Amino acid sequence: MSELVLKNICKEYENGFKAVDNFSLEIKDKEFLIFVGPSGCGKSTTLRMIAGLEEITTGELWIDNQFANYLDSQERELSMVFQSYALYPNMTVYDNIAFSLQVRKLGKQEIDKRVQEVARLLGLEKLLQQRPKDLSGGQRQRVAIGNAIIREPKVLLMDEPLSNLDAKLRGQMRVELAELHKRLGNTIIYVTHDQTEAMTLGTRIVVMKDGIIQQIDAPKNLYENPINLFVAGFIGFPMMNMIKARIMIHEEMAYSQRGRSAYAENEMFYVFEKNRIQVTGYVKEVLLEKDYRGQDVIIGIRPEHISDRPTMNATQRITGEVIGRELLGSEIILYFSILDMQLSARVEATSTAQVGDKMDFFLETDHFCVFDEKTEENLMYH
Amino acid sequence: MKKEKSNIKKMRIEPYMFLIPSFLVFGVFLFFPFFKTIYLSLYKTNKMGQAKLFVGLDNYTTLFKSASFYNSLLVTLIFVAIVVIGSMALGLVTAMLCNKTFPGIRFFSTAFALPMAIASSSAAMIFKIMLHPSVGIINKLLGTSINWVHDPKYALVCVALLTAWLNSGINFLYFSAGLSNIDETIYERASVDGANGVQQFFRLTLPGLAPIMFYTLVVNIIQAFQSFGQVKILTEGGPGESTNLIVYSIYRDAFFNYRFGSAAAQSVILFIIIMVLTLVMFRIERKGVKY
Ligand SMILES: Nc1ncnc2c1ncn2[C@@H]1O[C@H](COP(=O)(O)OP(=O)(O)O)[C@@H](O)[C@H]1O
Ligand SMILES: [Mg+2]
Repeated sequence: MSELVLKNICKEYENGFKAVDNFSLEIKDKEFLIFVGPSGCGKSTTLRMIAGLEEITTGELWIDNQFANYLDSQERELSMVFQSYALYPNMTVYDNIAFSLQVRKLGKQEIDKRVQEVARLLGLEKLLQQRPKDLSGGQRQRVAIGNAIIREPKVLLMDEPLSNLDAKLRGQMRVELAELHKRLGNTIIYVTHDQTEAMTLGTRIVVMKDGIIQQIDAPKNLYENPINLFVAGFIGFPMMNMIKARIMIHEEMAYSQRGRSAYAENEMFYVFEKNRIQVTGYVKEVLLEKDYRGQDVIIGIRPEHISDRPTMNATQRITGEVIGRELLGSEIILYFSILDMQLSARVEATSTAQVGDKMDFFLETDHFCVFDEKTEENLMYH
Repeated sequence: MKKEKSNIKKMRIEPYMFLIPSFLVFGVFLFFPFFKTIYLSLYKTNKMGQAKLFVGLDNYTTLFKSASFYNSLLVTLIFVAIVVIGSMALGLVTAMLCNKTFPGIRFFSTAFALPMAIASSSAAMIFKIMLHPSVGIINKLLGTSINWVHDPKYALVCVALLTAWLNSGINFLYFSAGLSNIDETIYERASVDGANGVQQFFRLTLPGLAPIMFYTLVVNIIQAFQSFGQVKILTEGGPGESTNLIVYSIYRDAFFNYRFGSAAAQSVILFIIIMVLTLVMFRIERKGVKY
């Protein structure tokens, strides 16, 4: 059993900089929890406070129902993988992995048994007598993980463990980490600035910005139901398309068109320049209820909700010029410009669109996010 | 064809020409005195230190029959041991204290490195006052009335500790440099791994300092063997012969007893001792220390 509770934790550095503000979170047993956010948003600081490497300025940290603010790192029984791996340069791989057991004065045979076990798990058997400087980046990373898991710690903390690896190795290690978590079944808190890592590994994700938690949710919910503009833009690749528009309904529209009543009564539209996209269904209800008539909003559209052909759901049309085309195997990302904006669409690989083409794109309006222009909150968040 | 040949010849000579100035300096100030010492050690000399009578190895055999010489060797050995251990321990502790920044660190770093800049004889003068049996501050603080430098029990230890302090300044610098080369995060990892301070010191700090430790040791041993000024001022080799280090014995033989031959022979023996010790240490280092 390992449960962590963070209550209103704040961190203010000696220079007065507030790196973490009012951080509250409950971490359950066996969770693979991710802290994600741009560089400098306080992820490492939070992790280091949990590990006992950084003092908690205010707030409470509870580990397994024990008040842990003032426990030394040594007493917290957590283990950590550092971004730089922090391998002991003068020790062999064997000693690097065995260190935490050696300092606990376990028997030599017991240690040896567990080191061999971990080495087998991580494919390090042949390297045990090497020194860290003779290892490749991926091997070092495995050694760091080996050292962290050999103790079967309550909670495993990882600070950007993959950021020093090349892209291919990173992908591979991502899969292995997920498997490792399944096999070991311990609680993992994992820090990354890479949303792909966060989305593929986490069972729950904490999105942070400027030391403040933005949203805590499962990957799928985070993607489909972001709480605000920041989360929507940070999660997902290619990035969510953002379009500034004004909400208008029939009367106002008619007014601006000087009496030429081309639209049925009570129809609602997003309007930007000469483009009009009709708002229907649930989104329209919400906007009416919150009374956003005539207000500026930002609409957010995931690339997969823009299609190059009309479908059942994608009926609304806008016209743009294709400026880029990226083949991703089974699908294509089309980048196109409309007015002075750049948007992207995820379309099927059969698309024949070429750079320079002027073409129609079709929008699945039911999946739009709509953000208040000032508060940047997602009006569709539920 | 001919031109090319002379070109090659020129290229061969030129590099050596650059070495001439430094060799001149070495020759005058190092090699000449060195060989002259060996030469002198084979002669009996007059009071001006001029070689007069060739006696072969007589100076050496006389030395090896003299109890005073063996005493000098023993005293030197004890002295070197205390100085090296003391100064390295002091340097290491002070360097570790100053490894993390804290308010006032500049003052303390300066204080710990300062002995480097103090002349050994002036430090000895001050210690002589501090160790004075009746008015010295040491006796006042301890509430004792020990005649530190004139008691054979304490004299050698006093001189050795003074020397250890004097030599600790440079060790502070060496070890500070060594410590700053150790990655800070390995200590963080060790704390999370559950290692306490003592375990961190023996498993991370000491091995991390191993490379610099060796050179510090060699330099310290050589430096300790050559201590002179503090002995001259504090004890003059006494009481009895209890602080008669080889270097002081050389000085005494040469400039008090005018036995330049014997002094030269002792110098040669000292040189051989230091050389052998250094070679042995290098041999051990090549086998033992891995980093
Ligand atoms: N020791 C420190 N003193 C002052 N500011 C710090 C210190 N360590 C980190 N910071 C600041 O705190 C913020 C959060 O840092 P960090 O937690 O390392 O961010 P990241 O999310 O990239 O891991 C950064 O803006 C950083 O500049
Ligand atoms: Mg970080």
